[in-house]
Amino acid sequence: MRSYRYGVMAGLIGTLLLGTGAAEARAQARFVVIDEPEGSAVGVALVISAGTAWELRSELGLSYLAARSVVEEVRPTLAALGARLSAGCDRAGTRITMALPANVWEQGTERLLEAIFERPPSAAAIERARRAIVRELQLAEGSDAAEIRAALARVDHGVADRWARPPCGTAETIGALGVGSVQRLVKTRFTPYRTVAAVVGPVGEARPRELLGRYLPDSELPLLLPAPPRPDSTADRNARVLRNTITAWIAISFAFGADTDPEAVRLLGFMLEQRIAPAPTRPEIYDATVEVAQHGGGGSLVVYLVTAPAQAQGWVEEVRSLVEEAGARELPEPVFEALRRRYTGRRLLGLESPEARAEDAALQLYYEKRFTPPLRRIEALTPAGLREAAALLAPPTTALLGPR
Amino acid sequence: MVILAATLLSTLLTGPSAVRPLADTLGPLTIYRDPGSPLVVVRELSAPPLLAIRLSIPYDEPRDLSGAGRVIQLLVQDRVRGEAERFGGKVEFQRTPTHLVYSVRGPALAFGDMVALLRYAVAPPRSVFQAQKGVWLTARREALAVYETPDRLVRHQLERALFPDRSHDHGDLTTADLPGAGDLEWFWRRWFRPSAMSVVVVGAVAPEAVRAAFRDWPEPPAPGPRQSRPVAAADAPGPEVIAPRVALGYQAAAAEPAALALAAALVDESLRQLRLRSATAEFWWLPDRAALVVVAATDTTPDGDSARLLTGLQICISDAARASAEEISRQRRRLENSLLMRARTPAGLAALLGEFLDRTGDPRGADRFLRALAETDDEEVRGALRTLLYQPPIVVELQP
Repeated sequence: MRSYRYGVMAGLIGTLLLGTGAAEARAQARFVVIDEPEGSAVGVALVISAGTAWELRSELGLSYLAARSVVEEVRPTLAALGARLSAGCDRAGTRITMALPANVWEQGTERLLEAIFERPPSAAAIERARRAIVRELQLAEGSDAAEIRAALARVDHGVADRWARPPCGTAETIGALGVGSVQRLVKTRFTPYRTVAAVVGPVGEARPRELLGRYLPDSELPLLLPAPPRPDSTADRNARVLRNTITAWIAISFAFGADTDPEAVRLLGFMLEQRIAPAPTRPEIYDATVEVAQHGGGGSLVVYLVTAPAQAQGWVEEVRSLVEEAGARELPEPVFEALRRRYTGRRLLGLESPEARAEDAALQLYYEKRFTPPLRRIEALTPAGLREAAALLAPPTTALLGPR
Repeated sequence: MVILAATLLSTLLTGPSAVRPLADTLGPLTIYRDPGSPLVVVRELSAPPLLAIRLSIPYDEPRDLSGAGRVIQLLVQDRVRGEAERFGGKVEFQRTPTHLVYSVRGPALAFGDMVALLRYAVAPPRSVFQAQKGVWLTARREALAVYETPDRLVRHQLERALFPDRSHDHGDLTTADLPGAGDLEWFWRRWFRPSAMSVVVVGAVAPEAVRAAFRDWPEPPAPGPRQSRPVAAADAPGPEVIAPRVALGYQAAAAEPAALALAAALVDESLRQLRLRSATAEFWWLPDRAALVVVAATDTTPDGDSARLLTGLQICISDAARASAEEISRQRRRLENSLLMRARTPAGLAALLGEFLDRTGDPRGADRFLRALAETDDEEVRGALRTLLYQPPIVVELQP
């Protein structure tokens, strides 16, 4: 058996399994504890309201560097306990995730929370993190994959907007950030009032509530969740990047609003991926992925394709028409059930580890202000819900990188 | 081949910490030994709503049928993977030196489909064995991979020297005279017997349902006699060796596996002092034998360098035999943690339970190993290393 408990929000959430309608009216739960008594390891995830969306131009990448610095600071201590840590960067939030053996989860979690909220990282940890990020970004920057993402962000948000900047910064900006800036950011933005957390594993109920409650106390303040400004309706919705490549890279982004069910959007993305993935019947497609990104105002479903250049524009139209079709008519029940069955496997296998489940729960809490177990969300999907999610998608923006 | 590689271990423990004891760490198991059916081990987990099944079959390949087990896996692999996609599942086939392993994972609701896939995979229609010439070539090409890099080749050569009577990949065999469908079917009849199989199931499923699903699988007909054919070895391509490599192995069947695993971890740590291009210590553990192995590469190539390298490696082993209690405790914690972290997913736990079951024949082998790890005396670890040093190692060298 496992049970779900929301975080200490002025005692207003008693034993609750699903949904927090009543709770949301007064305050937002800041953590969720999922007790899985039979597990052997624990996953801990925190999502902090810090990211490119909050950063000045001179600060680009600062949130990510700060998160990696915190991780570097505690890594030697936590690795000794068997813990594995990672940090991730999104435009609207910064993630820190940890997996560790169940018998040391309390000490490990406490040390991580202390490092995030109680003492800024040392200069040595910041330098280690900086070197690692710069190496990673130098490898990625300039690649076709990075360029197509940057081009799409510019079309989606406008060249000058902070939402158009790379979510993890650039090697150049990360290299220029001062140690003091990182330490200041940790003090001012890595705060309990900007953070949600999730703990998953054989942790019981009382102890994690007590521990997380100490660091993420009750607050009547709503969580700060950034949303991009409305796009300029007169701006060009298509970008073309000329490159002397032998393949064409396509990115097609469909925005969705805060009232759209993200799980239905993910299912739609899965359906699209099945229909555009490389296959003997589609020899011109070399690669296809679909991503769903969220922010305070909803999010976007983005399709990435690598195709033969001659067929690139045709595939843009094909993806657009697949989405239109999905929004126009419901799938027949047997087709929908077969799709949902495949999707269930894919989605749940993505949550095999406790840290993946913790991150999924923390992201739900962050973006949707409540937590519902993924399987229950999938079971609640319907053909009508899928159609509605597709119909509510905004007209797409596109970016195309390739030869003339 | 490498079963417990000390190189998997992570950063040092920085200080003592109060931790809960590791009693029954991997949880309660339900075990069924029904006559004529596979040995079934179930670890029930109500969350996440996933299921991992690992089925293993012990086998041995005569030299003229080298790769037959892999061929049978490859013959059904695409079909099985395609079927698994229908419920969003994942399938992996592996061949270890002693077992053919079939793993499938997916949502718990698809348990019936997962069992059906496994049943098809281990008992395909006989017509499948007909279309197999190209698959033999694929299997031989896969086996040739050991010749691709110096690190793999030196391990392969050491493995053959340490365990000469075990099945080994024979990528160097000529492909002019491949076995026929009859040979393959003989191999299948000989080894793919449900009564010899082991199944580990981890996830949200009732143990009795698992028992019922694997009961009464039909036994293949008896294999009958078979005349082995002479086989010829072709010239296997070798990798370009730039840095000299030395691999040395100590057979260690008599020692306690937990002590040897700790010993390998200590040697691995000790090797750092040599500052070589690469150096690792590994514990190789097969069902009825074990070895402590050191593989090292150096940057320099003057005459006599291999001899010096060999001496350096043996000094490191000797140093490890004098490890402090604190160092042994640190390595013990690392090893425990690496196993526990592997067990954090249903598939990882199924693999862990299954691998220890394959090695020891004991469904609770993984938990017993963890317990032995906690209870092994420091002096036992040092003693195991000293005993190894009394025997001459088997040495394999690769020179540029």
